[in-house]
This record gives sequence, C-alpha cells and structure tokens, in this order.
Amino acid sequence: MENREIVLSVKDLNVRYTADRGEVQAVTNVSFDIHKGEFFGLAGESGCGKSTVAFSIMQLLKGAARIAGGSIQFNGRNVLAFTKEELRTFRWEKSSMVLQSAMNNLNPVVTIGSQLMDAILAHEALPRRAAQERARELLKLVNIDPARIKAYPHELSGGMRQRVVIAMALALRPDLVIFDEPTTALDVVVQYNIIRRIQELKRRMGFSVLFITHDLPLMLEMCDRIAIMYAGRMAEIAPVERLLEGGAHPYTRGLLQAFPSLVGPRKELRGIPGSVPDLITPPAGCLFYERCAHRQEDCLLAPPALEDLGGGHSCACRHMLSKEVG
Amino acid sequence: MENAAVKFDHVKKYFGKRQGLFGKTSLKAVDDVSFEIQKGEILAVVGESGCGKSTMAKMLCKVYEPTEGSIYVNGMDVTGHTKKKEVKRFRKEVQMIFQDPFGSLNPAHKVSHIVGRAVELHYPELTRAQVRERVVELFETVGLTPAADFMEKHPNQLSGGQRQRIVIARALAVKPSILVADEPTSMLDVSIGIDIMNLMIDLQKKEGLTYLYITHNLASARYMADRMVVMYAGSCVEQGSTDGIIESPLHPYTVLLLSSTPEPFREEKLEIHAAEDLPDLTGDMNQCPFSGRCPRASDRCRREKPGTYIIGDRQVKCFLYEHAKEGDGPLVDVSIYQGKEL
Amino acid sequence: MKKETAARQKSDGYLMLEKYLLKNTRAKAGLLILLFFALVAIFAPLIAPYEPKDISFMPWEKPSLAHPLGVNSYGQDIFSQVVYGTQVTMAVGVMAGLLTSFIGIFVGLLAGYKGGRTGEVLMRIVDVFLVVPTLAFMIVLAAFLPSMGIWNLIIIIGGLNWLWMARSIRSQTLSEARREYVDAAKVQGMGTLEIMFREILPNIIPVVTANMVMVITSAMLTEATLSFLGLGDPSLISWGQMLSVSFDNNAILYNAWWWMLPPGLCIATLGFSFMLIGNSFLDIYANDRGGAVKL
Repeated sequence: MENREIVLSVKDLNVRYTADRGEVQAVTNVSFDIHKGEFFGLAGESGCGKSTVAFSIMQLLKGAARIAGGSIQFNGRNVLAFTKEELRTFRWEKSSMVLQSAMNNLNPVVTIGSQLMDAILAHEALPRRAAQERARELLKLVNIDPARIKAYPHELSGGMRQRVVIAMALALRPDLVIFDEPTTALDVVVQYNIIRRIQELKRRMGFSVLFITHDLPLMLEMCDRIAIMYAGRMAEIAPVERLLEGGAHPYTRGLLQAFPSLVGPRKELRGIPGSVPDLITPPAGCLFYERCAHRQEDCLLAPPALEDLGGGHSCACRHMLSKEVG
Repeated sequence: MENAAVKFDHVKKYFGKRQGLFGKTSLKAVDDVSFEIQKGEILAVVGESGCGKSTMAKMLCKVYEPTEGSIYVNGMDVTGHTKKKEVKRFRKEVQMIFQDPFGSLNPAHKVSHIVGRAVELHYPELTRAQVRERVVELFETVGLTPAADFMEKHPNQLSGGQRQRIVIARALAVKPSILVADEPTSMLDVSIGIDIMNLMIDLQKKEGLTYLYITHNLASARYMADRMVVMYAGSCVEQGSTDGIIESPLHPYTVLLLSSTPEPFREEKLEIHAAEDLPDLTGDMNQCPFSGRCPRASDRCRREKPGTYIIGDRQVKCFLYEHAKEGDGPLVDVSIYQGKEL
Repeated sequence: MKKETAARQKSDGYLMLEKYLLKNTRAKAGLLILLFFALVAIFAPLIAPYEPKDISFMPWEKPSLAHPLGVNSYGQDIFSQVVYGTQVTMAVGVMAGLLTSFIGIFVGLLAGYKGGRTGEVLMRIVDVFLVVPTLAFMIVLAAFLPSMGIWNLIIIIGGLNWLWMARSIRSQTLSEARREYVDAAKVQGMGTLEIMFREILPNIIPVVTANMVMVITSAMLTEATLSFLGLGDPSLISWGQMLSVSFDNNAILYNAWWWMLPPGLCIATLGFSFMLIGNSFLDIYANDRGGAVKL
C-alpha cells in the first residue's frame, strides 16, 4: 500500500477558532495520507474535529475558524496556497464533498436534471445536449432511472435525493470525494444501498474516498484504513484488519468495545467514563488521560505524538495495547 | 395475560390526511398490532423511520389514542379514558424516556425543578424538604453523583449523557412500573449511549421495571432485550426472541433489515439490493405491505393480507409460514436471498 | 466547585443583559429616553412650576424665563401641562399596554398550544377583528360611551390592541409546542395552564417583551389620537389633549408654535424610544434563533 500514489496528504494541520471564552484548539497536529483509490475512514465522536478537517481540506472553513498551521497537499500541490481560480477548479473538479444534509439542500424549484447540468456546465464548456446526456449517465450511475431527470427534489425519497447529490459530486470525475456523514439521517436499508453504490463507483471510477462518520461498525465494514480522532488530535490510524483485532490506542479499544454486536456471545459492554476535555484550555499531557483505563504517570508529560508502526498503522500513545490485552 | 404488564390488542392508529382540496384519506400509521410485554421484561420494537414504532410509543403514553383496538396496562384497559383522575393514575404507571435529551428538557428550568416537579405532581402530600430529598435520591439512582453538583444547573450546562440521565430521573420520579424509551441513545455518542443502556438494564433488574424499548438498531435491541417486535409499514411482521430472530430471521423484511445492518464481525455477508420506496400507507391495504419489494411475493401476497402464523415462540405475518410447525428445522435458508434484487 | 458555578451563572445572566441592552446602542438610547420621561412623570409636582390648570397668566404669552414654553389661550402654563401630561400619557400607555399584553399572551398561548378547534376559533375571531378598522371602531365606541374616564380609555385601547400580539405569540407558541419538553410535560401529567404559563411562556419571553414594548407604544399613540379627535376625557391633561385644544383654539393662526410643538415632539420622542427598544429586542432575538443563546 505504501508504494501507491498519494492523492491527499495532510501534515500537522492545526485549526483554531475564536469563541467568546477564548481560542478553541479544534484540530491539533493532524497528519494522514490518502492513497489513490483508497477508501479512507475518519472516525470519532461528536466534537472531535473530524468535520473540521474535511472543511479545511476543501477550504470551506467559515467565520471564526482558521487554519493556524500545517499543510494540505493534493496531488503534490499545496491546497492552502491556491489562488481563487485554482481553488474553483480544485473544488468539484478535483475533489468534491457530500454532506449529511446535502439532500435537503437541493434547490426545490429546479429539476434534478437541471441541477446536474448546471454543475457540469459551470466547469466544462459543453453543448447543453451533451450535458444532458452526461446528467442521464450520472443518474444511471447512482441507480436512478434516467427518465426521472425531470423530477423535482420533493418527488424523490431521501435516499434517492442523497444519491442525486452523490451523482453531482461525481459529475466532474474528481480524484477525491469527501463524504461527511452521508447516511446518518437515513435508514439502514437505504444506507446500505448507498454505501454499496459508493463502493462500486469507486471501484469503477478509481477515485479516493474520505469517509467521515461516527458509526464505527459501518466504517469497519467498508473502509480500507481508518483514522480515529479524539479531542482534535489523531489517536490512531490503522488498516481495518488491525482494528478488528482491537486497535492499539486505549481510546480505539474503548470505542470498539462500546458498540453492541449482532454476533458472538451477548456480553456486558462498558462506555468510556468521563467526558472530552475543554479544548480552550486543554490539559498539558495526553488528552485522553482522564478517561483512560491504562494511564500511567508519564502520560501527563506531553500529548504523545503519532508513531509509525509500519504497514500503514500508526498510533499516538505511550502505552500501546498489544492484541492480547483487553 | 395475568402477568402481562402491557398488552396491545389489535391496535390501529389512522391519521387523517388531507388530499387535494376536499378529499380526506387516512394514513395507517399502525395497522393491527398485537403483542404483550411481561412484567419486568424489556421488549424491543425495531423498524425503520415511518414504520409506526414511535406512534406505538406515544399511544402507550396516551399522547395519542388508538383508532381501534385496546391497550391494557397491568390488566386494565386504558383506551379511551379521559377523566383526569384516571389519566393521572395511568401516568403513575407509564412514563417515557425521550429521544432528544436536548429538546425534552425545558431550557428555562433548573434540573432540580424539572425532576422535583414530577415528584410534586404525583406525590402532592410531600413537603418541600421531602421532595428535595427524593430528587437527590433520584439523581444518585441515575448516576449523577454527587447530586449537589448538578441540582442547580440548567439543562444547557450539562452534557448529552447527563441530560439523558436527568430525563430518566424525571421518569423515575413518578415511580412508574413501565418505561417507554423512544430511541434513548440515538442522539448520543456510543461511548455515552452504552452507559445509558446499562443504566436502563440496571433499573430493570433492581426495580423490576418493564420497558418498551424502541430502536432502529438491531444490535442495540439485541443488547437490551430478550424479545423483540419487528415493524414494517405499520404492521408487526415478526416477533419472538431477539436471539432467535437475529440468528434465523423468518420474514423476508427481517432478512433485509438484518443484512443491511453494519456488522464487521459477521462471518458471511448477504448481499441484498432492495428498493427503497416504502409502500403508500394511505390506500386500502389488502395486501402484504412488503409485497412490493419482496423477492418471494406471490400473487396471493398482493391480493390478501397475511395472517399471523405462530411457530414456537415466534409469530410471523407471512404466507410462507402458513403451514410451518415448530421443529421444522431451519424454515428458510436465507442464502436464497443472496444477490437478489429485493 | 459550587462557588465556580455560582459565578458562572451570574455571568450568564450578565451576558444576557449585556447582549440585550448594554451592547446595543439602540436599546440603550431608547431606554435612556424612557427613563427620562418616567422620571418626569414621577416627579411632575416637583418639576412643574405651576398647577397645570391654573389660569392666572396672560393668554398667548410667548416663551419666557417665567414660562419656558409660554402660555396658552386660557392663560395656562404650557410647560407645566407638558410635564403633567407625561403622567397621563404614560399611565394610559403602560396600563393599556399591560391589558393588551395580558389578553394577547393568554389568547396567543391558548390558540398556539391547544391548537385544534379552540385555536382555530380563536384565530378566526382575531381575523374578524383585524379586518375591522380599529381606530374607526374606537371612535364609534367612544362616541357611544356616556363618559370617557381614564379607565374607559385604557379598556377601549387595551381591549382592541391585542390582535397582532396574539397572532405573533401564537406563531411562537406553535413552534415551541412542537418541542419534546412539552410532550414530556404532558406525559408527566401537567395541566394545560401549567404547560402554557410555566413551561412554554418562559421560553418565548423575548418575543413577549418585544411585543409588549410595541403595544405600549401603540397604546400611547392611540390615546393621543383619540384625545386629539376630542374623544378623550376633557378633564385630563395629556399630550393628545393639549394638541386637540391648541388645534381647536386656532393656535396655528396665532402662530403659537410653543403650544403645538412640545406635546407633539414628546409623543414622537417617547414613541420612538419604545420603538428603539422593541426593534432591537426583536433583532437580537431573531439572530439568536439559531440556538446560540439559551434562555
């Protein structure tokens, strides 16, 4: 995997935003690479900064949020140094994003066909005919009958609208598609269909995926590699197989053990006690210290750095757990 | 029957729905559902949004009245009662844990008031000091210790998990025998939600509470409940022991639901592709509601509503099981669904 | 720990005060003007140099040191009249405003929370009254009443001004009643009145306050209008009454600007101050609906 071409490389990304009470360290020293054709998952609980990372990549941070350091390389070019024009091509043509609420953000008074065509025509000089043909193809791609090109968003179910949004994201054949909780508002059967569709399209079109969700079982089922964030920092990045064995970071371990399962013996599960530290005045040591079952005194020294363990696996913990523990 | 804490007897709930300028049709939110919950048992109701599970919860809490059929609580028919006294007695038996811990607590009040008010309403004979004592006790029961740290806070000063504990404390304040929990953890992070589930199980064991646990997540149903009801489009398509249903689902919809649920530790995965459209719930449904998506549907399924067939401890609404008996062995080999376009 | 939370809560309350008033120049200005008039009304006997109805001066005298705003055609000191007029205008405004608010809040909450047939009927009644031209209706009403004391004035104004307020409170209540805490209150067994006033009302206070400020303004203006049209109580001295009398006595022909201008300016300024306060409240509240502020 390591020799594969890297599409996106995030290095030491820091994002801060100003709140009434002070500066929030929303994302701190986050680094990861996504390879060509990889299905990369970014997991974590609410407020861990996973969406902030996605918005930073797309340069869509708003209001009080700003990138305070680090670099984001896309196909070897620095996204943070893009001019306005470069940014325009980068968004959508090179990489696109599907949000949880996107299906509700389709324009209600314009047919889905026109919306697809607008997306295509905004970036490519095509005759309308050809654009319409492309729109039909795109609908077919996401398993919607092309005859529905004249349908208005309200005539489609939630799952279909979300697939229209995915079709729009794929309209210009980007190299990277970011999905931010794309199925959270949908039912499992619909979610399953959409995920399968994304996987199939990825196989066929060869784009890379950055998939963000809090649903770890879902992620374990479909991703190649998963990054787990906690309190704005990267806790662990590991291939799925490694995580299925339990993960090396105590937080990963705790998270994996908090999900009820459909198989195996029914056993009592435990949540992770305590709550996420305040990110305005974060503690000096490891941010997970207060909640960690494996903490030791040296954890209080400084937040541990992400350590490469080889095979695409890295972990930020001084006392990593072996497979047998826990 | 004697032991049933809750019994739904052919309960239907239709909502009037305006159609066009003058027409009126009814939406069959819950269509002929029957089940029982034994005392001290947790029954999970599983289904997707729009399947009628929340409507059932609200009927059991008397937020809605059933259109037809009866609901029994501890052997007493509670349908149609509107007298203040009777309703109040009923409220003392059944309380609710809500889905949204942010919306279900009034932001204008302190949490001690929220819980204390529930005590006052049902135990007006208590003095102020006694109410306060009870509130402290309740806070400790739900794991908010020391209570003094939380009492004077407003809901927005607490985390989601803490709020949900307040919601549970408020429900317990009445000393109910039955709790209706409508997706109590779906808006919380898992590492927090699982502890809320553990708290609920603890209360069941210690206080002998009975639960109607509503969820869209089969895995959490398995974690919480011994028996479950699977709902589809307002009808109860299958019910029985949680383990039984998850190991060998009978109804084709249950098979679909189960195979769509993410489970990385599953040994083999069924690949089923299903249409997403829910049936129209407004017409006369003289057919199996799932027949439009079912790969095994026959003409009969589209003409006639299947009855409830009983196989051992399982009940299933599907013609496939019309003549099945207990001990027939694996009734349907689920692998026949492999790769099917459902 | 406990101390810390206490300090925190205090600062929450302070933050809100700051958000609604201190940081907002418009609200601050409005409040200052209001405070000024309120002080004038309270200390009127100390401020006014003469009895307002005393007719012992030279009619039509121009402003001078002895009579800062001159004298009217009856030989009454205008400055003293303006000062005492504040009392009546503010009393009628506040009392009628409170009456309006009371009816408006009750009807709005009931229609919004109860919904169904009750709400429908209440709102249709409101609609019917809304198409009746209120001022004309008041004029007719005032003409039919044998005498027009200050209380009649308050009841007429208060009784007819609540319509818009009821509508606005109803729509707020409708959206509030959909929130789960209202279901929770029902399941607990709370009564309708408790749910309306103790559960819902505290959450719509900003809208209520903004509306109250508006209806008080409108009550003051209505009082002035009615008095100007000669339908008020002739024995009361209010700003509207002063305008009316000056108009009747051809103050315009005598070029007696000192008689017409002061009450008019006072009405405008006080009305303006209420508008400032009310509008800024509504603005802040509308901006906060995103959930940034928790009350």
